[in-house]
Amino acid sequence: MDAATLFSVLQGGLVLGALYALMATGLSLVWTTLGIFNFAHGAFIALGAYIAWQFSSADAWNLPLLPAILLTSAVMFAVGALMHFLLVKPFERRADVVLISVITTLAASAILENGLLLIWGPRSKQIPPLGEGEVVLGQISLSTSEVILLVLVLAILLGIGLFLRYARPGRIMRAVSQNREAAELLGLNVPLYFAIAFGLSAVTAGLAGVFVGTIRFMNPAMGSEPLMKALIVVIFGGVARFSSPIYAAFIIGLLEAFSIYVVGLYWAPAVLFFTMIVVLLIKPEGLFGKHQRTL
Amino acid sequence: MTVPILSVRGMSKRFGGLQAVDDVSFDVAPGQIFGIAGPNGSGKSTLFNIITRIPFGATAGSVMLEGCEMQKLSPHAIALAGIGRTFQRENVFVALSAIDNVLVAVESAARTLGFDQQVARAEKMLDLVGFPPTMHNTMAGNLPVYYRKLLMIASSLALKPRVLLMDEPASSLTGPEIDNMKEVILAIRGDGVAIVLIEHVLSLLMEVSDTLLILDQGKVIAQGLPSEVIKNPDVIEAYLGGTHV
Repeated sequence: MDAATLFSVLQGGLVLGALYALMATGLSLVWTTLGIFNFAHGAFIALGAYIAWQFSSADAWNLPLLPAILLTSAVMFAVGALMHFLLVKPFERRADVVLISVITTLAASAILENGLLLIWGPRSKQIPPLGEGEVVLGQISLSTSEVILLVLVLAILLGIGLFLRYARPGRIMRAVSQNREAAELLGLNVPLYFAIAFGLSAVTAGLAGVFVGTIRFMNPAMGSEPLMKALIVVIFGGVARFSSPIYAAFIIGLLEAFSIYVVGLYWAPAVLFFTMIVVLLIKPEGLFGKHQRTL
Repeated sequence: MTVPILSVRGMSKRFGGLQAVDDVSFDVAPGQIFGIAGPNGSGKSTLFNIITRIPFGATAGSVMLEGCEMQKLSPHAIALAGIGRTFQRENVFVALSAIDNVLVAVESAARTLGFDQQVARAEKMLDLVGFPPTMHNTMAGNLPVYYRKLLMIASSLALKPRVLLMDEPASSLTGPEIDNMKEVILAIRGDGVAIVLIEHVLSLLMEVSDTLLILDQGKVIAQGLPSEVIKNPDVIEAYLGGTHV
């Protein structure tokens, strides 16, 4: 492998890792706070991409990309909070809430994906790229769009991390995720903060969808494969802490990029699953996991 | 009796065929320490659960705080209305520092205060229960049991409750720690907070309680002055079983 190929594979791996990190962070946010897995996360990815396309495309409302992304984030937050009240809250006091939420979120996923098909049709779409041309560093040239994507994703993840660490709602969400009963006894409106967590998760999924839509063609089922990868990331890295899936995402992204180069596109998922199984055999709580889940 | 600050009427809780709490009524006067005792499984903690609606509400009954009905409120609204509670187990946010634990409550009760004022109030609550300033930044999960209990109490007090329900604050504590806990309970009462106290350490309960209520199999079997209640034959039978010595 020559240096140019190595950098190309590295760049591809980092971009994949960044996208997986964004997707997995949202999944992990809901898991650590509500203790459920949101199987509609993949549909949220597609929904975010289509909403951003609606705002930004020359064939639709033709807004500049930045306002389109901000508006998409706002819509996705509202959709996420609404989904919490529809899919999870009615069942949250039931002992089988985990099983019920699997069914309700899977149902929501099917409804959302078919809704996208109904509204925007089957034809593939693409969001305008984040940047044009290439950034040249010595003998290495990098796609400007992918460099901007990497920087934006890292900034978003840092922002969420700082929000959870230092902002008042973030501290409260960490408290709620650790001990629901104590949080209620201290006067916290727990369902409200659950809705905020679901909303934030939907924002991360939507933004991931936007970024995917800038580098690939979109279709209503575009979230299914990323959801599977995000699941691998979350299980591989562990869901103990906010940062766990982020590290895991970059490892999985780089592993996938190198696997594609070495064994080809069709065998790359097998390599990922094999790695995940080996890690779980050695460390069942995940590579960066702990037995206790908390933000 | 003066006008009660907390009035519990006909509280009942049924789990299928089990009547865990059966038509329990009592009044708590302002500034009073109201003790509750009873054998294991007599429904003491369930009574606290249904009063606070955490994690479940009552099958029947009403709870009035200063004349306002509480049972129609959500659990967090009951806490904000003025009924605080501590658990038998140390129910704290283990991955937050001690001061952050109390800050969560302060922020919940006093959103308009500036951050410095919120921190000052949190520190005042920790001081009130005798929590050492050197441990303010220690993760709650790393604190010894006694300090986690103090932290839980300080967090509840940060909501400025009118009534504090304390569920076995002396459980798992050593003799000296129980003595300290007694001082903490008296200090809270001195701060104007009425206390409903469940406790298995009977010496502590007898020393601090103004009134004592005994539960057995979910029912009130005696209520009155502690010195009189412990002589009640029904109470002795409930604790010792069958014919007493």
